[in-house]
Amino acid sequence: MKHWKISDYIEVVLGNRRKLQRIFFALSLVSLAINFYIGTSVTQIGANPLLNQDLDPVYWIFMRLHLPGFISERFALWFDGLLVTFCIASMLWTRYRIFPIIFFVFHFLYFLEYNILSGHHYISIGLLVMSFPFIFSNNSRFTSMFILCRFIFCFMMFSAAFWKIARGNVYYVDQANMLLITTHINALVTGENNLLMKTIKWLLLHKSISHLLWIILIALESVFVVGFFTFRLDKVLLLAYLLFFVGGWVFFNIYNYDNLLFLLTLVPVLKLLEIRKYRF
Amino acid sequence: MPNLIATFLINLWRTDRKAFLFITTFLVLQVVLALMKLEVTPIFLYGMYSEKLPVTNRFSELKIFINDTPIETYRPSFRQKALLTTNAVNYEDMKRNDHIDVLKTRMKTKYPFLFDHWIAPVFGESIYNSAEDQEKFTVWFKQKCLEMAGITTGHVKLVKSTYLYNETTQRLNLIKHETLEDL
Repeated sequence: MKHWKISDYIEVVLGNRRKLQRIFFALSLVSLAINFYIGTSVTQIGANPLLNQDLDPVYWIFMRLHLPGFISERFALWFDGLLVTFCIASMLWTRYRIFPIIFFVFHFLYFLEYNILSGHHYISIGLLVMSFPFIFSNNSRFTSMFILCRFIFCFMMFSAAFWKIARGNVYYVDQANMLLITTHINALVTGENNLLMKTIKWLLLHKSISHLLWIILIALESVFVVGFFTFRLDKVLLLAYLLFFVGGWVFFNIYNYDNLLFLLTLVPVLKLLEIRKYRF
Repeated sequence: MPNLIATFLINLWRTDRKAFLFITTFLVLQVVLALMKLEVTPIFLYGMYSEKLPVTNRFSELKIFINDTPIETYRPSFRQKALLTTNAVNYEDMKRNDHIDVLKTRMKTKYPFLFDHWIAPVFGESIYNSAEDQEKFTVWFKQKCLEMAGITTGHVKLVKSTYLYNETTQRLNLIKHETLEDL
């Protein structure tokens, strides 16, 4: 298969459904382990009484039903335990739809709970969105939802660039410098002098270069518009996302590791599933 | 140029009408709500960092001190520090708003019709943080900070620090240090 058509994509996704499920839930388990390592499981956060509902009505319903308190006070340990258990069950017993369904429900609740307790609505949506197709037993519906995940991924990246371009942010020379200072405020106060801070200070001195870095990051997001039209440039999308991820991490402390799961929807990653020597 | 999304939707229309309806509704809502700058989970707005940051040489931040030592000394993870700092900022915002949930004030002033005819009758006070929640928060917050630092007793301070940026040395020099809370 040189250039993939939609029928090729469907064939590979469908033909490797169980393998995909195993890989996805194994990676989800890694993500949950990272959450635990950095102290963001529900049990570790605890029952924060000051909730951040913001303008999203889904969070209002969540509060109206008194779920934040119920989950974080009485049910926290069970909740975290069941989330991990159903993740493992979904990875091991791929024939049963019930495990991905329960995992999806629990992870949706975790997503709401974490955002409402953490004081900010983070958009680490990779795990939430990508776990959705696996709840369907109907194969054709599974592939349709898997392709929808690809479009959500492309929309997420492209619309992020769109807002920066539409609001004139891309032409705004000072944006990157102001962001670099606010991101590294503590290191700039203490006068840290490691390699990263030397680079940051150099960028702060050379405003045009930091602006160029900002433009490159926006360009890496913009390129995702092609994902709506063709599979041919998926290698570029893969590279663009990895560069964007590393750039966002190093320079602006953006750690949306969950969103790396979206890479499963790109052709070069799916091609790996076709290599027979890897058994999952 | 092939049009992947159109081909996908046409195929879906032919094979699975329910899935077609679900996916098109989702995609249309996603675009419409994004243009209206609204979020209704699982439809999100991906506009972070798109607002222009004003040029300034004065920077402020809310700092947390545990037993007079900055929180960074205890090496919290990025998310742990963000969780404590963001919640502290939200707490201070509500305190400055006469202990009334900032969302309530925002809805009353920005969306009075929605607030009076829909939100208030359906949700009442259940979606707002109360002054009592704020009091409980200080207990939770102090405990979380001490837990993170690995100690059982001590005191926690919330300090607003203001700095002046020196372009030549690329350093931020402290010009104001204001204790907002001593827990």
